[in-house]
This record gives sequence, C-alpha cells and structure tokens, in this order.
Amino acid sequence: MPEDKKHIDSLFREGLYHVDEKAPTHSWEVLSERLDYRRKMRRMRIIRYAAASVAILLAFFIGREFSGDTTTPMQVADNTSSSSQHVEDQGQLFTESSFTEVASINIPAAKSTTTKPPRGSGEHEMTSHASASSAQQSNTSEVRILETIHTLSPYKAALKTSLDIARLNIPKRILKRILDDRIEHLSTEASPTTQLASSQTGWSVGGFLSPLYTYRTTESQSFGLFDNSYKTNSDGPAAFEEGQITYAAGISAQYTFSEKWHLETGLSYTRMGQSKNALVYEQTPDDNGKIDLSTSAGRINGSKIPSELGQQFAAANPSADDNDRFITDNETNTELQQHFDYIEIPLLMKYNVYQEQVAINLISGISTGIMVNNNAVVTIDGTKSDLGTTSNIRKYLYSSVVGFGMQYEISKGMFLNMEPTFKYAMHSINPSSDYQYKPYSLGIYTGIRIGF
Amino acid sequence: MADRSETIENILHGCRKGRKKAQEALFRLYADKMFGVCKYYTRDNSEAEDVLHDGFIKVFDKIAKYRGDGSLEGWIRRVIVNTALERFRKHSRMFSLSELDEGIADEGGFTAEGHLSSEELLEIIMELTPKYRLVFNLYAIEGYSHREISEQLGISEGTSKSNLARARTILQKKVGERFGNDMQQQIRS
Repeated sequence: MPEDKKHIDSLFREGLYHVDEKAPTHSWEVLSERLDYRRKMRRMRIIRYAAASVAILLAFFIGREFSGDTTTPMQVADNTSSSSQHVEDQGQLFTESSFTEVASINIPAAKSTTTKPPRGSGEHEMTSHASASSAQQSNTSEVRILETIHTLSPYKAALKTSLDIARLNIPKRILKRILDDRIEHLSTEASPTTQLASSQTGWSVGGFLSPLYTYRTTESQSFGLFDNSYKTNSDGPAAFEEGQITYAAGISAQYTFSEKWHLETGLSYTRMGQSKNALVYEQTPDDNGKIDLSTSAGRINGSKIPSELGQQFAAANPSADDNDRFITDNETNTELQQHFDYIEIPLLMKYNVYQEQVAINLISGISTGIMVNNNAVVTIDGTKSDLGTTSNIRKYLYSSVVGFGMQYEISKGMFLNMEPTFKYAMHSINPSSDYQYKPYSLGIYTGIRIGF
Repeated sequence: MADRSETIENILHGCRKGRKKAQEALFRLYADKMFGVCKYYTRDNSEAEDVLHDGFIKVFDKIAKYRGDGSLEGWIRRVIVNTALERFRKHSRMFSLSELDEGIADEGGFTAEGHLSSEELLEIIMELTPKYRLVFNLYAIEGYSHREISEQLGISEGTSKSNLARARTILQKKVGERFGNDMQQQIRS
C-alpha cells in the first residue's frame, strides 16, 4: 500500500469528528420538560424526607415533654431558639441578554450539514415546512389526549407546558414520554406544587428546629460564708449537676449582601437549663416543711418539697442550723431540672466558604435572650413537683454564637439547612458573686428556607 | 476570546447552581455538535435525540465534577458517548443476529469527485451494523483503545479487533461502490 494513501480511519475521523448536525428545533423544550419533571420529583422526595424528619423530632420532643407528668402541673414550655438560615448565591453573574448572546455563538467547527432522515425511516423532517404541517396533524391526537387530561385534572397549570409542546411538531414517541411523565406525576402527587420564589437576591425566610445540649461553665472568686473548696465539694451547690437535652425552634430572616456574605436575624424560643441528680438543702425546713435548695445557678426558694424529704432532713440533722447542708441519699431517685426559657433575637453573619450543590458557610454573631420562663421541677421516685423559680436570675442574656452551616438547594429558591451551632453566654446568668454561671448550648439547627 | 471563555464560566457557574437559563445556554451552545455525535452512535434521528437528552441530563447532573482540566466540549462529548454506549448495552439484545452480521443495502447514486462530505461519510457509516459501527466509531473517531472498547461494550479485545477490521473492509468497499475505484484506491485500510 502506498504510504500517501489516506487511511480509512483518518478519512472518517477528519470528516466526522467535528461535524455539526442541526438538533431538532423543539429539542430544548423537550429536555426542559424532562428536567422540570426530575426537579419536581427530587423536590417532592426531599420535602417528604424533611417533613418526616421534622415530624419525628416533634413527636419525640412532645412525647418527652408530656410523658410521666403524674402529679403537680409543671410549666411546660415550648422551646425555640435562634438559628440560622442559609447561604444563597445572590451573585447574578449573567443576565438574560448575556445568555441570549451565548446561545447565539457560532461554534467555529466544521461545517454544518442539514440532517437528512434515513430513507424509509418515516422520521419527521423538522426543517421542512410541508412536513412540519404534516407533523402538526399527526400530533393532533396527542394534543386531544393532553387536553382531555387537562380538563379532568385539577393541575391545569402544570399541563400548560405540555400542551404548548404538543403543538410544536414533536415526534409522537417523545410526546408520549412527556405524556407518560405527566400521568405518573398526576397519579402520585397529592397536591399542586407551589411555584417557589427565587432566592437569588435579597431576603429569604425560613423556619427551624433543633435539639440542644445545654449546660454551663462555672467559676467563682468568693463564696461568702464558705471557702473556695466549697465550689467543688461533693456536697457543694454544684454537686451532682449535669447537662440537659432540650430543644429550640423559631423563624429567621436572612439578607444576602453578596455571593459570600449574608446577615441573619429572627425570633426563636430556646430552653436552657441543667439537671441535678440530688437535692442540696441549705437550711432547716420550716414548720411547713418548706426549704430552699442550692444550685450553681442560684437558690430555689422551694415551697413544695415533699414532706417526707423534710422529715428525712430533720431525722438526719436534728440540730441543724442554717450553715448545715443535706443531700438526698443515693437510694432516693431524685432529679432536679432547672429551665431557663428565652425568646432570642440573634444577629448573625454568615460567610460562604464552599458553594456547590451543597454550600458550606461559617456563622458568627451574637444573640440577645429575653427570659420568659424560669422554673424548677423535681422528680422524686417518678413523682414530679414544681418547685418554683431559681432566684436572682437576670432578665437578659447575651450570648456569642459560632457554627457552620450546610445548605442544600432542594429546588430553585428553596433550601434545606443544617447548622451545627455553639452558643455561649458572655456573662453570668445571675449577678451573684458566688458562681459565675454561664450557660452554653450545642445544637443542630435544621430547617427549610425560601428565598423571594 | 476572553469574553467568550468568561461567559462560558458564567454558564458553568449557573449550571452548577442548577439554573435553568444557564442549562439552556449550555445546551444551545453544544446541541448541534453533540447531535452530530449522537447520530453516528444511533440508528435514527429519534434515537439520537433521546441520547442527546439523556446525555445532557447527565451533563447537568455531573457538571460540578468538571473542573476545567480538559476542554468542556471534550468532556461533554465523553459523557454523550458514554450515554450512547449505555443505551447500546441496555438494548443490545434488541438487535437481531441478522442486524449484527449482515451487510448493507447498496444505496448508489453518488459519483466520486475526490472529496467526501461529512454528510456522505455519515450516510456510509450509518450503513454499518450497530456493533461494527460502535467499534469503528470508538476506535477511529473517539480514539479509544481496544481494551477500553472491550470494557465498554462487554466484548473481548479480539472481537473488538476483528469487528474493527471487518468494519474497515466494509467501509472501504462502500466508499468504492459509491464513489468508484479511484476513490477506493486513494484510501487504505
């Protein structure tokens, strides 16, 4: 074979590699329809999962709150907390006109050729006026089918696009696929889908819910009547204390300044607090069996201590004075819960560090809490009693907030958020010099945000 | 040039965010080119359009994975070709034995002028049976190795080589039949 002969591979590669074939004119409309359908299905799936998760969380907290409440009514507070919403990409990097411009770019590749349908294939010739007319007629039946469904279905708007497409000379098999998608969609969807607003610019709002682990740090410089060892003594006010699982929920509003920066505020209900597995009595019960209890957060001026505990104290300390302390014995199944409920107004800055299908941002800011509920509940051998309030607690609590957020775009303008967040008080919850009691909380704030 | 690449960056950014307008812009930018690719991996326009749509859905799904290491067009082309191959694997049982082994009808009617248009080449290549066409396309046009072809199509390397040889022979013959011996003698297999 002479070397200058052109190789058959090269002949076809050079001839075909860069060949353009005019795609059918309706091609984007059909693809767009399929993309919309896929988005809708994905959005529905995620919403179902999110709704199920929220329902489970709510059921858990409601059940936990109401279970075992056998005697004294106690104050049950709904909780909510500050949280955050998510990052959105506000950067409108390109405009309508730039898209139009790009869409019209001519690829400087090989020459375009006019697509010829294979002989005898019976394929519609899209570029031919005459055959377009024929295709129009051939689609009449599909249009009728769609229109019939249209009249029967409550989701007329959803079908409008299908009808429009049906009039575009689309081949039967592609039209059939759209029709199948529609029928499947109608048979599975329970309600019309709301058109969600875009979240590209400006404000977005949302709601959230979070379980919280809440506890405190303590420090002190003086203890009045007691020495410093009192703080850590096993019978000191802070003894037997531990953190508590509570919850928070609320709404938030976020303003997007740029693709990276967002400012968020909102309103939330947050329950802080702690638990104590024993009671520390600081003084002799009075004639009515009333007694004050000590905790690191402050004294609980109790009035409803079960009389048997008062008797227990009196038996153990027949000559007790105000400086004696008594702790319920280990055999008594005792749990004291102190709750500090706040309406919180956070002010948070968020900075995007990663922006893809899932966006990640850093969160930092402050939160102002206004106390709306302060109560203590003791459960002794399964019997729950309301003890009253912890005394000398400040009305306002200012906390610093740090965390990071993950945001998944469920659909255009609708986001699923998950934000592990740590909140730490900037000052003591009480003005006492005995204990500098600073509550903190760690939560995973989860919710939905919608941009508009 | 800078404007164009900047605009494509914007389109990519929008596609990564799932924005419809960006997806439309990307589709319109490459649809004709990729439809050409789809054409010689499928049997007719309708199937080619299906592959085009399936391929672009994958492109939009996987666009976050494109990091600009190679050309965007090359990456999209690869996705489209893989989509066509998946479709072939899925439907390969639908091809009859005769379809796989038989020759092709003589269309005739062309005269050799020393130059073959892409349209004419496409017509010739479309006359190959699906397996011959796929092997030839992957090897000669896309630059796959026989090993890659065997993995993609689930055949042995030997079968890939023999299919390629057979495809070349048929194509050479077809070129000769259509455009005369002069043209046939200008090419070698």
